[in-house]
Amino acid sequence: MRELLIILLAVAVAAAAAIATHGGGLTAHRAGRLVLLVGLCILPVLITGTGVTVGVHESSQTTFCMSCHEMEPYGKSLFVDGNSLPALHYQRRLIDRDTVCFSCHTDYAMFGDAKAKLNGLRHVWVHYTGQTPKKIKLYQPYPNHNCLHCHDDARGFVEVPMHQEKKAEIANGKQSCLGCHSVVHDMDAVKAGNFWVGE
Amino acid sequence: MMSSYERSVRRAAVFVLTGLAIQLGMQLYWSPLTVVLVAVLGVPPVLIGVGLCLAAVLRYLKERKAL
Repeated sequence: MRELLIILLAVAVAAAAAIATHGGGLTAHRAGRLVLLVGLCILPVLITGTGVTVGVHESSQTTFCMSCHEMEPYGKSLFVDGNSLPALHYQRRLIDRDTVCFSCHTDYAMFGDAKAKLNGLRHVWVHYTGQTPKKIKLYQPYPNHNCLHCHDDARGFVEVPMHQEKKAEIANGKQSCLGCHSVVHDMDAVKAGNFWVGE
Repeated sequence: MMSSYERSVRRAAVFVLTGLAIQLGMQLYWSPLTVVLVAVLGVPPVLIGVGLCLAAVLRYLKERKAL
């Protein structure tokens, strides 16, 4: 997809360059105005829109998150041996491995994606200005509805007696999922090098 | 001698060219920083150029009572 976008961008750059150097008089003819409409309006807007869409899509990829060294230990925590939530989700393929970070670190609400992208801008700023905090924390307590988005009516969730007992508290957020499932990114196991080695 | 429309169209083309060139450059070197730079530096010049071009064409057509 990106290769195609690069080719289209190169074509659009050539068209805009030709208009910038020779195309001033194009307004005088109907065909010329059509060339202007395509070369300076439709093509650039379409390509820019496609570029932004590709950018948004690519910035949701696991490889994109892992391209900053601050995220490296969190990436490694997907491979630890044990019962930590990210490792279980990743190793048992409960979520798409290509978008593993984004799947859990976005709110499933109307502006959840937009909020995640805006926070991403902040992360890029912090990364390049060297203001990364020593201990990386979430902006807010992890919301239950992110878990329930997938688990709400899942058999594995519904059939657990504790979930049935606490159903209302879990739904309204009074009982955090992480209150019981407390091992999230197991950084101690990462430090100890305790990893699952697949066959 | 270049008319004011020609100047406007060329100015619009320079804006569009700048924006697209930035986007092209950033696509060739993909990183979290370049994604932000595309959004901040690549997109606005294209939108400004498109706006200038449309304004020039509309002004031309209005003056010729073709609208």
